[in-house]
Amino acid sequence: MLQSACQSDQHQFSRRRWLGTAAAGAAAVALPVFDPAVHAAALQRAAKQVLFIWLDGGISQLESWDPKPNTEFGGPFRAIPTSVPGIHVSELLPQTAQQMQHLAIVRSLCTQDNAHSSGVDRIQRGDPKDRGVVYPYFGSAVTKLLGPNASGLPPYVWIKPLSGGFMHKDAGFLGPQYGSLAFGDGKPPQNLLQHANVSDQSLQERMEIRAFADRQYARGRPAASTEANGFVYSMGLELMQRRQLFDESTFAPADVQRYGTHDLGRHMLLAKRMLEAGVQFVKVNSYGWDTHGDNFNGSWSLVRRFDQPFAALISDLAASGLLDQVLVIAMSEFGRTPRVNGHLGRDHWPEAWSLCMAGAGVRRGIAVGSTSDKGTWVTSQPYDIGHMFHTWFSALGINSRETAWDNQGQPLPIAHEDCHPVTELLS
Amino acid sequence: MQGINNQQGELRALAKIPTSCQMSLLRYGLDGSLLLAAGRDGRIHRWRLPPVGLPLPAADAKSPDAGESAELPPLVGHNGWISSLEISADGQWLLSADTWGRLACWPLTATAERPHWEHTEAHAGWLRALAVTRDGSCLASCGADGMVRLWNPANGSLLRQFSGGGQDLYSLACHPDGQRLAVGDLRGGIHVFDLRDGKHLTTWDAAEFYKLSYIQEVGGVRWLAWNGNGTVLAAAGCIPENGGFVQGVPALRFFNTADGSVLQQLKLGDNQEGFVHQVLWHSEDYWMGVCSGQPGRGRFFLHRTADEAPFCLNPQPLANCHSAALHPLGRQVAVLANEGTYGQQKSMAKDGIYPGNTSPIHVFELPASGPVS
Amino acid sequence: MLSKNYSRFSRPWDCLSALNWLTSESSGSKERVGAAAFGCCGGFCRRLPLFRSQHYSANWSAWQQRLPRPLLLLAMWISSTATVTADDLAQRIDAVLQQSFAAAQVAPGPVSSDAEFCRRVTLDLAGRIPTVDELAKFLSDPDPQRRSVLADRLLDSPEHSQRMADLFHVMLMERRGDHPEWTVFLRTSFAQQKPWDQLVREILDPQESPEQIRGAAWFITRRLEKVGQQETDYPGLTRDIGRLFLGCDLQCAQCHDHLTISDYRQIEFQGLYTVYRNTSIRTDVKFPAVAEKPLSRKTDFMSVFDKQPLLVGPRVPFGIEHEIPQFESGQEFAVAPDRAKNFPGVPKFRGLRLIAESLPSAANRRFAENLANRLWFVMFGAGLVNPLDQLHDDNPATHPELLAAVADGVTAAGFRIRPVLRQIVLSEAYQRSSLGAAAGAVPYQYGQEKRLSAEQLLASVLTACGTGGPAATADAPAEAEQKRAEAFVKAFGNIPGEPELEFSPSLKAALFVLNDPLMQEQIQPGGGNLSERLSQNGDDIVVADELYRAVLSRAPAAEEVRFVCEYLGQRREHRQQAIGNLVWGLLASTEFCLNH
Repeated sequence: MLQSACQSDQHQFSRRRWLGTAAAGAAAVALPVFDPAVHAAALQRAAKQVLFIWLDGGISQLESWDPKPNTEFGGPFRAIPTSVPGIHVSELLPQTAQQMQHLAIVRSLCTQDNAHSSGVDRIQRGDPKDRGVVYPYFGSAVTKLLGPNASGLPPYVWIKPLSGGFMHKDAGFLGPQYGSLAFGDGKPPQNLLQHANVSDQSLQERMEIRAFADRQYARGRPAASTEANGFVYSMGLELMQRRQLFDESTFAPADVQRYGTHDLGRHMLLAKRMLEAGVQFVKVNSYGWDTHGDNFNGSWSLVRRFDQPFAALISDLAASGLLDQVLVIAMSEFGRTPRVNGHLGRDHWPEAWSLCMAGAGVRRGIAVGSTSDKGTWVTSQPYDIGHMFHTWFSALGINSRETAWDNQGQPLPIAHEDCHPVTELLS
Repeated sequence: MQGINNQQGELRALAKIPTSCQMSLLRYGLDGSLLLAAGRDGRIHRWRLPPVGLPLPAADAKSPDAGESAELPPLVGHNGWISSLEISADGQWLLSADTWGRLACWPLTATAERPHWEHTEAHAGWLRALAVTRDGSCLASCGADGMVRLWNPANGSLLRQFSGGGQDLYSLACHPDGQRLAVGDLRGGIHVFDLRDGKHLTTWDAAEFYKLSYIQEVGGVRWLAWNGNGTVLAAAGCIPENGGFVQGVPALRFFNTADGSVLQQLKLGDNQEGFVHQVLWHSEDYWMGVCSGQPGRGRFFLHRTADEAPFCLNPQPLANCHSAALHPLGRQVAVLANEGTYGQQKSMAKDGIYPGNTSPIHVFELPASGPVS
Repeated sequence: MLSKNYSRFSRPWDCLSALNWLTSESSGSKERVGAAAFGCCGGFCRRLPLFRSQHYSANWSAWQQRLPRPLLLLAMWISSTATVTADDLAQRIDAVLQQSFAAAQVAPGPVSSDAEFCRRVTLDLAGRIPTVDELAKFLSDPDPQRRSVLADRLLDSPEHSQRMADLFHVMLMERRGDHPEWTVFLRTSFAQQKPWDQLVREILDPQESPEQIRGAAWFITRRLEKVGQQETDYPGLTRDIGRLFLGCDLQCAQCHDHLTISDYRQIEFQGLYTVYRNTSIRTDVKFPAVAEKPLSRKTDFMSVFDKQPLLVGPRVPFGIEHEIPQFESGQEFAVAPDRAKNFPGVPKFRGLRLIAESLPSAANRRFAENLANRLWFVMFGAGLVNPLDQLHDDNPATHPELLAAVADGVTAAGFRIRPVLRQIVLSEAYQRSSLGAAAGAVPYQYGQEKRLSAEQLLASVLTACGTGGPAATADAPAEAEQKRAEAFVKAFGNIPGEPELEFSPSLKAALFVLNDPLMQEQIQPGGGNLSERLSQNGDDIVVADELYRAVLSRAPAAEEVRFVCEYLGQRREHRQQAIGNLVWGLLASTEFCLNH
């Protein structure tokens, strides 16, 4: 079966290059002439970063952000107060509860898909109106829209269990170069380690010779090729020189204890380092959240292992002030059924679920939206993922209503045009 | 009636008692005239039964109904889920625990309304298991807080407390000699303590009942039970394949009390199923147990320690069995299964209410005499 | 507001919502095919005119606009009145371009230097850079015909067959992997100078003997393999036949007549699809082989827009439909199936044969134009029609008369590729220098930069760094050689299913060049390789000269010699290391990794 016929080379034949990325940057946001105010806004935008924590399979909203203790579907756990009076979360989030003053919870998500295979894609692509084109995941979209920042590091890094490498799938119609660089089990990509026979001095000289050769070649020729090639070599070198970023042995033992020694703890600590180093978009994946069976013992294990590093990270980002520019999002492809199945699991539930966000332009210390007493339905204004995309773009300083993709001639909205930013979530 | 001699060698269905919510555990009380169920609604549900057991259903009955059971008002006061129920050695008291850490002792009468004594925070959070010694002198409790506490069942005073040897404690069993307590934990450790001084005696290994799947710790020793003379300890759980779904092989592991050696590991299904949630000793020298599975699966089984496989299984799988209780006369067994809507359908009841699932109680007559191996 | 724009276009783009079930039938078994399974274009096609005029490539559209209308007509007249033979194609190319330069009032750029030409043509025809000796020999050749002599020598070399096999492998399989039988098929085909029509016929209707050609089936079987839980991608296979052999991407015609390309009707797709969805991978043999079921009924299809039920039998796009003969039950097979052996049998009426007989032929102009356009792309880095698979009346060639001339040349050559490449190489257009090109240049005024394939890069690295011989790949044991080749494809190739068209540097490739041991071992002195030879030479000026000739296939400019001498002068104590760094620096340069 052809997945989507029109993701063919028809779409790709005129792909912008790496450099195109740099030069065109926020190509979608055409800057007509140099205007200092606009330029400053663009710089400010480029300084924005995102940490996107993906709890693959679906965290139960009832065992996390929207507890309904002592109700029919409320499960065995208690709700606990948080640092913000009046807001309660599940007892499985004890440390996060103490960071509530930095967080915004959305409890009124109501989305369209209850299957993983399509749900993950639809959520991470913002579930746009189907026009037969493959939309970029949020990470690809953000890095494209923000344009390159000064870090010199790859803009979109994905920290995940299992394998890593160069992942192009997320990019959709933006083209493979907007894909992510995945750190499989937190490990850096292949060929990042300098060859043993090549000294630092040699490496530097090699780059200088390469640059000299390119300057020579560019004389009398259009600069596009040499600039594009130079760009990827600089990024490669930057990654190599900052490889200590990825070296777990250099993590402070106290930090490791605070974040947790399990995968998610280590990966979140790595994510923190990458954000501090300036990586624009860091996605952290945690797998195994599809608790169709034994959901409550599962959540006991899973949610607490999310709680620890999440709280540590929010606390650290807030302390360093980085939270002002880093948008943090923790979510899944859907929530879980209020009804408990016979295997003591909860199944997929897109009807009423929650997510948590923080930082950048997000309002702090609030819980938005509500669900019915038993957590079954949204009782306030329901928000689709499109609303969240609008809100996140807004929080990053991107006007989600007026900015459009230029998919080689086809103007496309960056977020679902039937949705809008949720103003109560924005500061 | 309990006197009826079931010669067929099979389980005979006597009744199916509907319930209003999901339950976690069953107990018979008052010489079998009271059936108690631990509700996942925080209440203790109760039914009055004929003391001699339920009669055979009418010959023309298409399927068993609730028979002569009559529901009594539930006991209220707990929170979250009722996680454990025990009957005191003298049969006078009902001991109950919940997932918020409350421990309560109720008079075991049909008219009881409030606890004789209770501790609202007997454990920090999920109180997972209770066990009483045969002589009635001691009630043991354990929880997800990793603590084991020993109480005087008469007045609820704390006798002793100690760390149970693991982070998350799931199960308890008192040895028939009243001097030893086995504690099962999440990672497959079975820690044996001296009840008299709380001293750790030994640890037996059921590590196969545990798996770290990504960041989820899956499994656990979900139930422990000694046989009648205390020579064999049965540990129930699952050999997990993965987290999330939690599929695995429901399994029992039998330990020789004398030296901790493993006598047998019994697998009760394929790797797509769930847990052995409970195992009980029958005085006719066999084990009874229940296991769960993915929707539609689940078993009640009878097994002799030395056999290769159970000698009796309920003829058709019940959906997800979580508990079984043996009638004091030894001829009838109540099995807690699950029923209702699975999956993520938005299915509504006719009255427009999003329905929850329930745990119907199946009462069976056991085969006539002990199994022939 | 933008939202207005979206709604303005929303009807065609939202055509998915207009989709309904398509019913189609195959050999008696009724199957319903959801439009979603076809992945309807969602009216994507509506945008193509936009592409061409504004969005595809600013350069190309600018070029087109520079061609005045009268000239276009004149050129068309020339091409329609004169018959191109295989021997005067070069002159025809230059005559047409000369007119376009005159009309644009520009002078063509200078002719390439001998070194520039030698590198360019060796890369294009032999798939690697020239060796130092080859370059020296060519540069010192007094023969005024030395360029055509070189071209002929390269065209007759075994390396040319290898280069063609690599080139067409990448073009036809688009990095979907390798298969040894397929490799044998391509290599023997190009070694024999097999005409393109025959080669395509062997691909479209693969036979199990002779052994050297049976690997042709892999083109189809590789595309019939299931990926994960997905269904067999019959529409994708059908689409690739159109794209790669006719230059027509019929994708948007799967579910409805193409919205903007009047040539592409739904029947073009469905007529081919009727045949290919009737195929499967044979399981009774180990080599790639295609099974075909008896075809007894036409395909029902309907447009998702007007819902009119239509029927089509086997049909080459833009050709005539074949009637399906009816056989008595049990009489459908020429060779009966053998269930015991899993042998699927051979039907009497075979769609694959019909397509193979009528698609690749001189009578099918699109078949010739497609090859012409693709060969032009190979030699000039851009097609006469872009994208390469959008040959249709609404997307005319930048130089229609050139497309006609090259297609005529292809036909006149009996679809043999070598004579056509030879003529292109002999043209002034091919031989122009790329130096001096600036933005806004008229097409073919200067030489173009072309992406090097992973295969060309590997062979060139080995040629540059090796002991000087061209067959440098023979130095490694077969297994290591295979691994090295795979590593280069992984580093420099595109993702599976994506054509390799333009130069697109990647971080992955940069890290490979920076740190991979396979690159480092080429730099490390030893075995008489370049680094070792240069290290043993104490004369920095000579080192600079040989370094540039070996890696960049040219003599260094004065400032380059100075750069090398200064660099080496400061590193007397680490001279060997410094030479390695110089070799690396040039290998990693843009000049090395492009054909320019």
